[in-house]
Amino acid sequence: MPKLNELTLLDAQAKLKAGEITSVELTKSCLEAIEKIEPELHAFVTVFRDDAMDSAKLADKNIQSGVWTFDTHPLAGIPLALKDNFLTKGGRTTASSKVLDEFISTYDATVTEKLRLAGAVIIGKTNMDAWAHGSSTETSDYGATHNPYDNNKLAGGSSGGSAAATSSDEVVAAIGSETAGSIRQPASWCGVVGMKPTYGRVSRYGVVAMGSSLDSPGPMTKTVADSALLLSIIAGHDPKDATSSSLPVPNYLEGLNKDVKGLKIGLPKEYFMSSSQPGINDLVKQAAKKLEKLGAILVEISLLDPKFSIADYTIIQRSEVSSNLARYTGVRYGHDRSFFGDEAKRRIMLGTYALSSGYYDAYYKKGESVRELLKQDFARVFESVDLIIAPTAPVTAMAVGSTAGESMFGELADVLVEASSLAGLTGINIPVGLLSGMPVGAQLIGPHFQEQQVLNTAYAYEQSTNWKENVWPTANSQQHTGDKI
Amino acid sequence: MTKTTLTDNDFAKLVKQANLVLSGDEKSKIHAQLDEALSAVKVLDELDTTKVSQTTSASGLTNVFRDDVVTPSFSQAEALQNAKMTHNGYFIVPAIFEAMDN
Repeated sequence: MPKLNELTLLDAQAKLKAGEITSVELTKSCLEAIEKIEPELHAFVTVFRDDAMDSAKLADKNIQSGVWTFDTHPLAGIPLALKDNFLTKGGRTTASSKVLDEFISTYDATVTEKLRLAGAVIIGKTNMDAWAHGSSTETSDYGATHNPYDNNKLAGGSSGGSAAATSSDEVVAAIGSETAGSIRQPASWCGVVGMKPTYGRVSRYGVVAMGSSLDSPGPMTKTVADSALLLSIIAGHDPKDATSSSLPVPNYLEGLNKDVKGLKIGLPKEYFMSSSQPGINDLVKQAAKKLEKLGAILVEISLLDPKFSIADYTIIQRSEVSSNLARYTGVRYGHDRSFFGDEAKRRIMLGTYALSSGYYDAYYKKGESVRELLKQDFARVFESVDLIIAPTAPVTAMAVGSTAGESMFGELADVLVEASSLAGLTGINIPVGLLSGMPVGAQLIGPHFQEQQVLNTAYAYEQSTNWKENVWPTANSQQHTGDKI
Repeated sequence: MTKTTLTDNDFAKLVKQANLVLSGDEKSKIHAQLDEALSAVKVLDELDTTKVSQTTSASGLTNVFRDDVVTPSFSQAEALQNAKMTHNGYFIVPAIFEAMDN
């Protein structure tokens, strides 16, 4: 029997529902894992030990008295972690920047509020690249998060803490946010399921803003079904975020099915790059073949060269960063601007330039036109295929220290996820195997608001393969425990 | 590809616009990286965008309206709770006018 912290979200829910375990036991188990693993892993910036235990006791009381049912409170008593850019009322939120070192959230982000209303126990806030600027967590002012598979390697980023905490069973599941790759890439490096919803599917209210036209909160989980459950809870229109969609939110978990017969899946030849780490393309093609065996039809497709999305993302994201970080003056909250790290300063400078009079047309306006081209490129492809499959990242987790002096590290690590983010599409990372002991992920990309199809296809793959064995081979099975490192 | 380079003067102006204070080392490091990044993004010139509009919303939203209804907000104490300097329920902000000598 697995330790309680090793349970998936749905298994934990079933055991709580059946009265086999209590939230206090489950929460304690996660806190003990955190206590044990954190010195090596460093997935958390802040752990809410006392508040989490209080929430767990309250959840147990409400479950036992029947005040909460799992219909009204589907996450009753389940410990989750939030990336440290989601506001948690009364708790510290730093976005992993010393600028916000002492900042106490005055209100809950809409995602936080929805999780609390569903009965979740918020166990803590996970490490990230400072302001979500990066793909390694090495720009965090609190130090990098290490990879649960190899302590000398990085977790990826920016949601590296949420990915590592989920992968190492410090929590049952976690929430991350993606601007371009920040959910999918660390999920790929840490061997977990990372769901990037369509832009506007999940409210950005109360999330420390990075690229406002791109930011998309999403679940990071051990299984696809867990992702479906969490997404149904956090998605939906929010009057406090005018860019959130008013389309109804399906019950993704109820809608989950593994029928992919006749589904057309495109393999973009430009995304299977010859420069990628040898072995990655093969593992992703094997996953595609698996889907073909289940009835999907594989089609070779062509998309714009990912090199354009790197340049386009650089302009658009830096521009939005310079605007969003202008508010940090140290007057109303936080420390002054001298507390910004190198990466933030670099991004603010480039963004300020791209938006400045005389250069706006050549950079920002050009960038938004290229973004339209990228959107049109995907729209064209989605006329002939239902989904796209490709590697999530061109390399497996890199060594701690790899980003030093590499000012474009993030863009290179995220080369295969930036175009779909700029186009606002939904995508998911699913683990498809190991290369030299490190996880490899495939991404499934779908049209706007086709999360159900993306989840279903990921589910079909996951259910068809002994994927846990695939990701955690027998020879390394001792790794997938609470004391992985 | 033509290399984009900012003069020291333009760079200094940009630092001011960005409301940052950079040390000497930071200036030379970030200046070089900025030149490098600006040259790298020039790859977009390979794409003809003369007949392409600009993206305004990634998911296609347009004109989102709502009724202008007043809803409860922070108390003054909550709004001020993270401020380092306050006075009589207000934020203290840096002066933007210089005092006259006389």
